[in-house]
Amino acid sequence: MSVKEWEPKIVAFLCHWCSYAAADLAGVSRFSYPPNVRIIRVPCSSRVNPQFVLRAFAEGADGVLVAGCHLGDCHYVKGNYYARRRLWVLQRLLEFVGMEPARFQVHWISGAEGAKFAETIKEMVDKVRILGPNRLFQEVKDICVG
Amino acid sequence: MRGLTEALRELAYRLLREGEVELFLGYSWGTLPLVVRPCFATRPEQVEAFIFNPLCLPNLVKYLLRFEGRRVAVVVKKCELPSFRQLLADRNLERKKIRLVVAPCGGLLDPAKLQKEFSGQPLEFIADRGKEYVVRVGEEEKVLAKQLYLYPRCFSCPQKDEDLEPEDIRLEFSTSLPSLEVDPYAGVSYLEERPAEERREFWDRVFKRCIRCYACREVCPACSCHECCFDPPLPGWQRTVDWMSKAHWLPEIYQYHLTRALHVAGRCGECGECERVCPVKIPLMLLVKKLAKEIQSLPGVEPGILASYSPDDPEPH
Repeated sequence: MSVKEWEPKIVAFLCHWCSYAAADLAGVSRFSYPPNVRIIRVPCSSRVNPQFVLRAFAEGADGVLVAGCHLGDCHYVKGNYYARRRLWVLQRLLEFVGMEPARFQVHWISGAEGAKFAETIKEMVDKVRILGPNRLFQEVKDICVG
Repeated sequence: MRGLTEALRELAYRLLREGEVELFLGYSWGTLPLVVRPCFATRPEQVEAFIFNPLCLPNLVKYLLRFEGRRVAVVVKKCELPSFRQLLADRNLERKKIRLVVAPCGGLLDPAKLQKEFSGQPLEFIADRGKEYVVRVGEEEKVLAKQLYLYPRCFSCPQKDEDLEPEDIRLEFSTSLPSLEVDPYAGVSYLEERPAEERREFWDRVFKRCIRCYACREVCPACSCHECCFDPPLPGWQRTVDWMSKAHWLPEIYQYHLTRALHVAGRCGECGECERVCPVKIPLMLLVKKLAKEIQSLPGVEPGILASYSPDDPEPH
């Protein structure tokens, strides 16, 4: 088996009403962006429990992106305000345990911003590619002895 | 400090005999020297076991959950009042049925540090002289400087007991802890200033020790959910997500500790029980204090801070 070159693996939680539509628009408008991103649709950015992010990292993601509507434009009026506070705290915590800030990003991307979506993904993949595979949270998966 | 113990026993005796409470929750000597354990008395004749001294480390307020709806008196120290209030709010406990007995505490002593010094001989506490305790070891009287033996969390002693109900009892005893003026976030600031690589190595090292015994969750007064995301879900059609395997695997140890820190963020009373019960001595209070520090910088700080927002919140990057 040939050894495949490492590629960054990004998990993106996109809000159904804005950022997922932006991803759709990016596709329809034929903007190209790297295929390293795995999109997960959530009803709102505030649906993203910090555990989702931690789980993604534990399962081997090299970067996690959360994207939602612009503040004030939330379909559920104030969901992204809640998300903003929670995810800001999560970012502080991840940095405290030694994670590089670029690995976990939060962006507000509206449904009309297909180009911004493609750009965001491109930038993030570039940054994570420079950082290399995520080493925090990682350990060789082996059977525990004793 | 025999007077304090006597006063406590007298109080417990009176409350139990007159039927004012059904249960009195306090401390008694454990089976090992210098180790104190919780003690539950339901009959007046059981009060002889109660003690109170600077080795009474455990936070008893979580035991209140086992006796919900019953009239209980519980011995607390000043530093445990925030965790008590949080528990009361989280679980909607009936305050009328709970009688707090606030014990005068002049600072707790670290049994580990004493163990080295006295190699397991029983201690009798005689008096509190502000900066030092007078103890009797065998026949000898000795002076213990608090500065040397103080339990770590006492360096940031809150020194106040507010918001008590009129029925609550303050035990009177001359005891004092001089203000030590230690920055409670000193450890956090130190680690924050280290390079990211060093922080990562530090957490890798301490989390590798974790055996996922969940003692930190069991003891935590802020972790009082009926269903916990770290437990396997109940079988049946309402089965929810299995968040965690049972494997001893570093990624999940990280996930566990960071999730737990976030779950108690803003609700933690900083009683330090998680750190005390940890069998592998993981400095869990560092995580909790880091979050407390960050949350304090948020606009409009109030309890349950992560369940609210402010339009002026900082922007994540």
